[in-house]
Amino acid sequence: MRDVMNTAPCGFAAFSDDGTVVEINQTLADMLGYKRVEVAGWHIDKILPPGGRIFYHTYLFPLLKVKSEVEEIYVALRAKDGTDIPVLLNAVRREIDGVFLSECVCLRMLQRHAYEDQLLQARRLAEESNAAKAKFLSMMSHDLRTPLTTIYGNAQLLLAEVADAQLLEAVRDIRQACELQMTMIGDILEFARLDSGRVQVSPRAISIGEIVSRAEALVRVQAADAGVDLASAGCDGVTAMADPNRLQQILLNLLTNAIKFTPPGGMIEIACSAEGERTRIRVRDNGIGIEPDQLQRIFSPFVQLDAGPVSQSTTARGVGLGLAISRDLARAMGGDVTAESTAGTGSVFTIDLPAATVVDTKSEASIPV
Amino acid sequence: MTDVLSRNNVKISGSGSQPMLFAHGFGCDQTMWRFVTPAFEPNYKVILFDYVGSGKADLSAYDPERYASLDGYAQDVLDICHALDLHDVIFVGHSVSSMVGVLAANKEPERFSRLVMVGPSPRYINDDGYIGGFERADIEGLLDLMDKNYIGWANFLAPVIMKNEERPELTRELNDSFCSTDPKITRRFAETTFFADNRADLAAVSVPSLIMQCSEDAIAPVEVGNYLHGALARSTLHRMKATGHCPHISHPDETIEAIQTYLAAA
Repeated sequence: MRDVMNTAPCGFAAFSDDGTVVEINQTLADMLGYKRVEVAGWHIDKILPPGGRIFYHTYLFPLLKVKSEVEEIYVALRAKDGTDIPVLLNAVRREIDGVFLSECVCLRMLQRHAYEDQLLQARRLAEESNAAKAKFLSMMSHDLRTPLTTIYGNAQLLLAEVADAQLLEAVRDIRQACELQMTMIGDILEFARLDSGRVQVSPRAISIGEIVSRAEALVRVQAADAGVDLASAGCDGVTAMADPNRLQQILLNLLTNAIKFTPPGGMIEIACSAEGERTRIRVRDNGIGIEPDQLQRIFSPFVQLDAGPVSQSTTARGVGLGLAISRDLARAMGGDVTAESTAGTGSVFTIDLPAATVVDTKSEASIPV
Repeated sequence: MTDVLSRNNVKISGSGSQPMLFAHGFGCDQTMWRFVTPAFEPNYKVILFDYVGSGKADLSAYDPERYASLDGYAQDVLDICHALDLHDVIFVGHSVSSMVGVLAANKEPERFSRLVMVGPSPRYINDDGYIGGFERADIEGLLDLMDKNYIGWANFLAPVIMKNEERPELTRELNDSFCSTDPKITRRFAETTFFADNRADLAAVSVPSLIMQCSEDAIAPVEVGNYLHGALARSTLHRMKATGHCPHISHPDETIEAIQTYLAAA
């Protein structure tokens, strides 16, 4: 047994509470480049790099003292030649012949160490990049919104003052362009907030019928202008766990998109259904549809689809954040937004939400219009 | 008052009237004092707490800006003193908390009667003739080590069956809280602690202090204890037989005796 301990393909060491190495096996001694008799009697600090010593004294030792065991702790051991050897350490502290000893096994982890370094590096870069992006979006959006508010306000004042029909039309164009720009900036800000986890959703049990009716009412004029029929079915009495304001935001986004991509004479239907523990709201159109390669990308931020001949103006396309925001909001509520489409035939966007059994009757009253 | 006490998970015990405020160091929480505080309960009002971001303190109260420097942690100490209307406080700080005590005592010296520093260091990084014990790269090595262990951080959070034969009465309640905290906050605390330089704050300390210097302390070497003793007016340097950096858990009896002797002579 003694030989097995010495030749096992993992390091073994025992040290006392004051950090004195009492025993070390041949494998660990070889790993470190020392003779066994050299290391026995040393303080464990001598085989740890400086950062590792802090880690030992502030984490490992207190954990061993109080919990009596640690598992899968990454540490580096300092070898005789000054190199650091990454090891995975498991240790148990117990009383042996009246003395408390911590017995540990160390497994060398060179490849895993390199792999985890890469993971960490990638994570750091992603976090830094994300923070920089969120900051940029937030600052940019704020800087853009300030002058727009002035332009919009003055356009409003001019509308009441200008008598000339041609000028009046120009001022209306200015106001409309401002509204569009403000919506786009709002989208960017919302996306930045969602991306940094700063958007709060408050799902509760709600009846979705009224939310669907309200969304329909809000886009009815837009649909009529586009020559598209709008209808809903089966939504009364259907419930879901959702934040009513956020659900309406998602629904409005899907309906606006459907109107944009459906030619005059087309049809948009909203259908609700309770399906076991899920509630689904489907927005179906018979518009131009989406090509399969584009369908995979539509929920990615800043992706825009070409509305082709249906689009009345390139300026009406937005910044390509609507679906990304809708999906993130739905996911924040424990749901999702998915899409199916056939190019040339039309699309179905499905809002999937957790079902609810008890409905908060006050929920609809809080929806801002 | 209730807010601060709940925020910092303040625990009060003891039958004396003079407050002893025990502040844990980097790494864990107030449970680190569990071998020491019972000895002071008969004669003192023992107050334990967790810094925001540690132990069972209220995580939602964590503000990265406030706790980016040790001043934020000193404010935790002062908030507790205000909430409990503490005066004549014996502040006992382990490791980084020694400097937290210095900052708190410099802000409101009238509240403190003694500073007891266990394994203190005003700066961990060597600097132009000053021996702190570490180079900057060493601290970065520690941070890397912590990052790597966060990959398997569940080890620290998962309940582990208590096997400590010495104090079997300390059961699951301890397991659930000991050292479990948000890894990102712990990393920031490590940066705040080990990159701090509080040497300039020492000259202003008017409160008498005890420096408890362990032998063979890898984190706060003997040179640091000597430096502190030279820089702190009205300080007493006590060299301990205890080795390591956590004598309050490795050598609690010697730790208790050293503090009691100092307080008795005061």
